[in-house]
Amino acid sequence: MRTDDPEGVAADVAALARMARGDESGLAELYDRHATPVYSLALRIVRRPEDAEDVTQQVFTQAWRTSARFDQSRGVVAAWLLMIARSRAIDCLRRRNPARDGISDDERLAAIPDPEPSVEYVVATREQVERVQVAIDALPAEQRVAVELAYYDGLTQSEIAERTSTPLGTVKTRVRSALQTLRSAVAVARGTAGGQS
Amino acid sequence: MTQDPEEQRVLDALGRAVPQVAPPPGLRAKVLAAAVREPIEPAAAPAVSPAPSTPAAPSAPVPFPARPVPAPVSVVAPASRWPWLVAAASMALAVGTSLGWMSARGEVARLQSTIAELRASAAEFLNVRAGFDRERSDRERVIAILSAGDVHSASLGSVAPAGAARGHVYVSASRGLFFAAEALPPLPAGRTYQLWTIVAGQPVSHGIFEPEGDGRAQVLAQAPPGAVQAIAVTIEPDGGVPAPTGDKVLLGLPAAN
Repeated sequence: MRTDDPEGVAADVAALARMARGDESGLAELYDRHATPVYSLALRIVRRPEDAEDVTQQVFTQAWRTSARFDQSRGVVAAWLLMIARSRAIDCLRRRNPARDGISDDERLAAIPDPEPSVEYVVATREQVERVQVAIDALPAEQRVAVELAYYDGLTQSEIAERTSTPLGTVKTRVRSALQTLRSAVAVARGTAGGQS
Repeated sequence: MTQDPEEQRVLDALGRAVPQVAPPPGLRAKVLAAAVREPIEPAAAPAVSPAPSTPAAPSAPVPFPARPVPAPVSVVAPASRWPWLVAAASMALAVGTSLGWMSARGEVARLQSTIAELRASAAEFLNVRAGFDRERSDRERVIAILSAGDVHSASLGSVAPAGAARGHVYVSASRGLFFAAEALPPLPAGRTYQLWTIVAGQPVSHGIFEPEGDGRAQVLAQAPPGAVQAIAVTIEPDGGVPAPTGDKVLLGLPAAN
């Protein structure tokens, strides 16, 4: 669906409400609208189709289970689903490589973490996504690698430093700079197209 | 860093900025079937975030919701005045059913494991019993040979001048042949002992054998097809040979009848 489509946003909320009453058609509808972005992100992160399928199943199962608890004042269903997809996919990566899990919570929070509980589910518009795609490609290579390792591999900043043989302080600077650039790209797009939050 | 809605927008865009791949067609039915087996958590459940209730989220939770905002009326099950009670009852039922099912499944698994152990024990017992049966049968054959009226015996001595190996053979044309030896040296890999009698000038094989660790060996065999002229043990390649080719270790001549 178009993520900046108000009708789609409302339809998602209605589908979720049907799910909360045990109506499976609501889940089918949600799947039809969001399975592709969910599966695509999962596949990008876990890289194995069978694992991406498993992650997709977990995402929609979680959506079903918690459908009655969705608070639409918190934001958009599409953003929530994608957030779950990233979390479950990174969980999958960590299960595959348990050695990585010896890191502390403090350390884990240093990279691009899962959102805090109070965060709002903010969805990017199609134009914002396109601008982010362009901006990622235009990033200096070391910044692009850092942000990709942080977002798509779920690495901590310490792990990125180790993986790229780079001092931790440099990694922090690169991730921060990259996110700032992407933020500017989104802000420009928002100025021209508007968006939801 | 991620509390900021603009930052959230960037992260959502990053999630969508990947190549879009349609999931396999079969996944839809699988996902829908699996998801609806799960109970729906009640809307009125207290928000105890950040700990998520999903067991599949050990390390990267998406806690939800953070603020205990009452759910919209359309989301609450409308059929009951006490939705929390219905929800609690259905959860208890679901948990109970789930636990009962898990318990039954665990019981089946335990029983299967027990059956497998019993089968293994039975097989082992039968093996042991078969071994005892063979030993008893062999002993009876040996006794039959030694006590036969037509039994003849011969001693075998080491062919090597300083060899300590020695043996004894008992031959009954009606009951068979029994050979026993001791102090046989261990053989290198690929070699075996073979027992022979010479009948009418021709070697007759009575089989190959491996001595025990203490150098003792016994062989029970069919009686040779005629009067025994000599008895010998040779070292042959593994599996034995039709006619002796290797070094003689033991040699004996039957006493004159």
